[in-house]
Amino acid sequence: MGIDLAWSAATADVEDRLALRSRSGDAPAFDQLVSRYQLRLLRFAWRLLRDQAEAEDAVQETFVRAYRALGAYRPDGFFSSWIYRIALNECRRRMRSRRPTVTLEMATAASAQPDPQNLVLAGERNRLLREAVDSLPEHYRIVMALFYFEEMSVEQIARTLSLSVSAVKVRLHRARERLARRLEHSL
Amino acid sequence: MGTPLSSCESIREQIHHWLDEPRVPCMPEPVAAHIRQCGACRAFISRWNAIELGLQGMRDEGPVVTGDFAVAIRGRLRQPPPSLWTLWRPAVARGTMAAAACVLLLLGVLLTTVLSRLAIGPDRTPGDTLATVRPLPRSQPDAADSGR
Repeated sequence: MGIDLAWSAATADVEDRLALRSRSGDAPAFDQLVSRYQLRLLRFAWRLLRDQAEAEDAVQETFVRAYRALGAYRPDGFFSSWIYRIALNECRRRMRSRRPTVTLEMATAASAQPDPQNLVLAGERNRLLREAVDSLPEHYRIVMALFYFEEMSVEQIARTLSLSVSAVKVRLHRARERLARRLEHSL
Repeated sequence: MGTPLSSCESIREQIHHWLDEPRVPCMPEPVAAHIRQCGACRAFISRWNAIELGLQGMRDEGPVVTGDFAVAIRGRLRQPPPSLWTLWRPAVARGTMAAAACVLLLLGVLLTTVLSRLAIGPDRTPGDTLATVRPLPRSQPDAADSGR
């Protein structure tokens, strides 16, 4: 555990230095930050938006906004939380401007009866789990994504979402209970 | 089995606290002891283990980066930043619509008031409304009829 903490502290330090160099116009330093975060942010955005093209656009916009806001960044070892917050705001802005639609996947899932002969059990279980996660209210889904997919600690999530640690815990607990209830008969 | 509900609720809280700390490998002993005895909590934890395994499997799901993101971002950065007007345009449009609706509503109220005042005839006093207009006097029966 000590090694992990030391490693994450070193990473945070490197990222802070890269951010400071980017701020003073060092383009390769910014490229390094982009290559460190592009895949993580892309998957995070895709989990919220469920559309690859829109997720790519959102992540590029995130980096552009981050670059323009670098002057306001305080190098306190939380670059990760800072950039995730920008990505989250960008995704939320896009989700707000969307009209509520039912995706094809959801529509077919609601109408078609599962055929045990055609479905591989594991794939079916994953589909159910993905649907259950997607059906969570947005504030629970974001916390779940940050905790289970981005592997952030509760403290990091609190910092990213500007919430208290206890508020994050409450959201996580409720999200788990909802998921467990929803998947009671499927898992 | 036979475990009081309040105890289960408090244990469930402790389970969640333990789940919040993925670096802590072992469950606290009192929680583990409760789970050994309580079927409902055992079912919850085994269901949750299955869910967590599924979530771990989903961790690497998603698109991969195609093309050079850094180049695309540099291209965007060369474009001028959006003006304040572009950012505020939707809010301004919504505000204008709301203001126009308010003005229309006020005009409607004003028009109704003016029209109702114009409609006051010589038999009415300003306080009269349609409901309070005095009815026509009832026709009096003939004196001959009343004498019968």
